[in-house]
Amino acid sequence: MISDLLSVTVLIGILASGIRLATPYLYAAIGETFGQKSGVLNLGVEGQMLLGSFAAFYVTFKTGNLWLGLLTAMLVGALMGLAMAYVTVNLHAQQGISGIGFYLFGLGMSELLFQSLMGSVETIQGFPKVHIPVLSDIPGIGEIFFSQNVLVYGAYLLVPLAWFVLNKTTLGLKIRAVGENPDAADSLGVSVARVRYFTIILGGTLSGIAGASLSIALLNVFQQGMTSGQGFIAVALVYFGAWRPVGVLGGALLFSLVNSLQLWIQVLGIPIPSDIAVMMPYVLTILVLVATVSRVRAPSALSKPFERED
Amino acid sequence: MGQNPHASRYAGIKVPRYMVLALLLSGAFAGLAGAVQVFGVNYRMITDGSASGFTGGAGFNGIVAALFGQLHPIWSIPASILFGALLVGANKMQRMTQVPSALVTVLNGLVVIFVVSSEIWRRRRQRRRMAVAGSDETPPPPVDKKPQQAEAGA
Repeated sequence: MISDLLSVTVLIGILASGIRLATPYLYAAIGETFGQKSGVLNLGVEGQMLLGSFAAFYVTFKTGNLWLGLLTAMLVGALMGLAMAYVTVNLHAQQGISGIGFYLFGLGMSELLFQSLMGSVETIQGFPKVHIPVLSDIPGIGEIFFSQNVLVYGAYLLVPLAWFVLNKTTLGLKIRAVGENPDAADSLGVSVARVRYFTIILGGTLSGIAGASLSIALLNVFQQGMTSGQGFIAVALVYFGAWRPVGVLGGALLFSLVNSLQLWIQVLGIPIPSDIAVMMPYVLTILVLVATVSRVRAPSALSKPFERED
Repeated sequence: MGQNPHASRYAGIKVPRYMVLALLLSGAFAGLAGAVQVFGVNYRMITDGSASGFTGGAGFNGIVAALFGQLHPIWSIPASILFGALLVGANKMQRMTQVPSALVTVLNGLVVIFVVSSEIWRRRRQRRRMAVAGSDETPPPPVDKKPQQAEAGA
């Protein structure tokens, strides 16, 4: 049976779905990276993803327009981000706890809306696979990398984009400054509040897209609580990636590939107990985190509310 | 330690050791909660493969109840009773009035957000109270009061 695992088609399948599965993590974690780089910890990502996921699904279900669904999810995520920004920046709330509050709100609201507006589980036609012209014909690699849907491509394009913004633009410099030493940034005229509002709302929007990618691109269904902790994993991935987009990419890929592996193991009937298999990605992530933790440094102002000392 | 880790370290309290101890204790309590749920409530272990399994989200609700009790151990008792009642009532509400039980989760979230957001007003009231108390001991020169009031109002 293990030999089934090593056949080429199965390996290609594992890699292709691993690449696909990383999509929501990438969107959510890159969004969270922006926020954390500016010093804000947002644990409400899971709630934003759930509400975005429902919003995208419901709008697509009702209008048949996938892009409208995606746009709605972005709007929902941005609104939740706005609320989070107000609570964090203006009210100086404890960020970890307010994040949990937003998580519960998103969880409950998505369930509430699902129960009142839909009632039963439906499926839709999600984003179709887009085969990139020449590249997707390469045997093996073509199917893995170049025959995915639009949202998957978007997620991977986001990584170099985020790296560029954070490291090569003035905005990125401001974000990093605010995250390391907001007092110094403030004294130089950078509006800490405005930068944090931007990163938090951006994070919320990306979390909304992450949720949408689940319901209208990857799974093409909405079920209550369907993210099952992916938002929290995304937050962990930011730490895992040492607050760098490349690191986040690595973490997301590691996690998703192992996840894909364990899914296929179960499908192929290989006799590993399913519970152990499900644990695998999480255990691996913890192990790698422990191994690398001493070498990374968080943004110094992370999760500390900024109050101007007059 | 929660109020001021630096001051605690200066006073000789080994901060990392007690942080680990506090985390150990809270983990132990959480494990106890799980055990109570299995032994005392359900009489068996129900797993449906979801993230919250048989706890019914009790872990997160625990955070909410603790906050509602202002993080004071004694107050967490009535707070937990309240939230337990809310959760049971939610299912009953759904059966009787067709209002979805998910409403309670939304309420949980809103409670957390509002409790955490209102901390700022409490801190400002504390600061004002301390400023007033300080000035009771010595006759306050009028010059000193204005900067304190300006800071509290900022």
